[in-house]
Amino acid sequence: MTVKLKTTTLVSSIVTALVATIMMATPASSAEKAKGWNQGGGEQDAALHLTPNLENGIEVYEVCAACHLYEGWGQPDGTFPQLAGQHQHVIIKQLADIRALNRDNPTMYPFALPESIGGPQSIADVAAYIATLPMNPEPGRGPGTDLKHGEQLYKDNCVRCHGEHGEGIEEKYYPRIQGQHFKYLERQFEWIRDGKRRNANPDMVKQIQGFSNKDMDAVLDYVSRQQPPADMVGVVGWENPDYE
Amino acid sequence: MKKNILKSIVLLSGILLSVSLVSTSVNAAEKKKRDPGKKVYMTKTCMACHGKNGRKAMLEYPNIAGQDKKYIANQIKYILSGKRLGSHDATGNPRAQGMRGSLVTPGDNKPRISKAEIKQVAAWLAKQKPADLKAPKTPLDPASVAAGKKLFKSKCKACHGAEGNKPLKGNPYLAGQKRDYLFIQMQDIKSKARKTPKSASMYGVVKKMTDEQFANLADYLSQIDRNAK
Repeated sequence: MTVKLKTTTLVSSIVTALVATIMMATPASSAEKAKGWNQGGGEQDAALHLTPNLENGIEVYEVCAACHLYEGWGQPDGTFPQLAGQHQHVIIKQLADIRALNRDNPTMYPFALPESIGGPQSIADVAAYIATLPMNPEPGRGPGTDLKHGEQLYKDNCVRCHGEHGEGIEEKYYPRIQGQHFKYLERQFEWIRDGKRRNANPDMVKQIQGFSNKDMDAVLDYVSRQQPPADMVGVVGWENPDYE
Repeated sequence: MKKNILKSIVLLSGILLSVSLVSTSVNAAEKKKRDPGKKVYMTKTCMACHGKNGRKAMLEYPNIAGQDKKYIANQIKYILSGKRLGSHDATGNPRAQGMRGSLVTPGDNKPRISKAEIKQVAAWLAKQKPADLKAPKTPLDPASVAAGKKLFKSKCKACHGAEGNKPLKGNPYLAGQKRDYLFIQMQDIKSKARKTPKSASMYGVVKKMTDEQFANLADYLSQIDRNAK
């Protein structure tokens, strides 16, 4: 009898504790509902099948320009990535992921909301516009001290998806990483490797598990120095005439 | 004789015209010199969230135009250093994380805003005209506003001044602040999700208060017009 009572008390206190834990964890765990790397559907699919309107893309991009700059060149210190020249598929996927909380980005989140930039059509428009912007000729680079090692690592681990020179693959949502700011690459790589970036490709997560920080820096330094095709690169000091 | 008069009139008007031209170009040159604090506000991406001149913040973010200079500077520093966090926002991160992400170079934890720039932007914001009152989306309950008024007098006035409009230096103006922001901050100080040197002294006041009382205070304060003469 006493035993039974004790058990009931124990069970009920466990239940209480559990409920309390769940309640406390709610805000975080709702955000942690990762939908995996690329299940598609939703706004991503909707945006992909819409015909982009570049004029509206200019309008929508103005919100983005507050941080990514009118030129889309981002910050060489890595705070904000270069967007210019990125594949449309990639921008569409990342925007849809950020606003679905499938990619953790508290700084950008409010600007990815429909009330800031609009619905799937706007996503399609701004992605198309971003792809047309000439790229930063002077991205932030690494120290340049371990490039041979970086090149070897790139060839052994990255080429298959990100391409010979980091150009990525549009249809597969693999981003263009050539000429991206070194510090930005570093942060994303770390987050992908260590599981903080929820929408990372699991194949990549597996592929880079063995990378030390030294390997990471070497390969990303190499990547940041890869040249995009000449006709995609802007001239130093270019100012986007769409916002005169 | 007539010719001479005509000549002098033409001459005189020419002189007058050139004087006025010179003076307008001087004005233009003066106008061009932008306040360094405003430049910080525009180039360090503050405007993206807090809106034009600090008066049109998005979501539940605070309006910061006309805020106490020392308070603004301190909060920027606390947010950069990770000392001010706050409860979780919609992304599941501490509230201040989004702002930190825009100002701190990731990896090496180096702020991309200098101490001098923090001073400049705080001084400039403090000089800006506070935001005009915005009518609440749903009308506030007059009983709640009255309860908030009473509570404020007994609990908050000593540090934040009459009607939240005359704070002690280093404390924030509360009058006319956005309702949801006020409510969340009171909750966060009570739960210690927001724990900064100044909030420690406020903790003693809010620790026994209820969400309902926070709502009363937020209702009341959000509808005080700082621009009323």
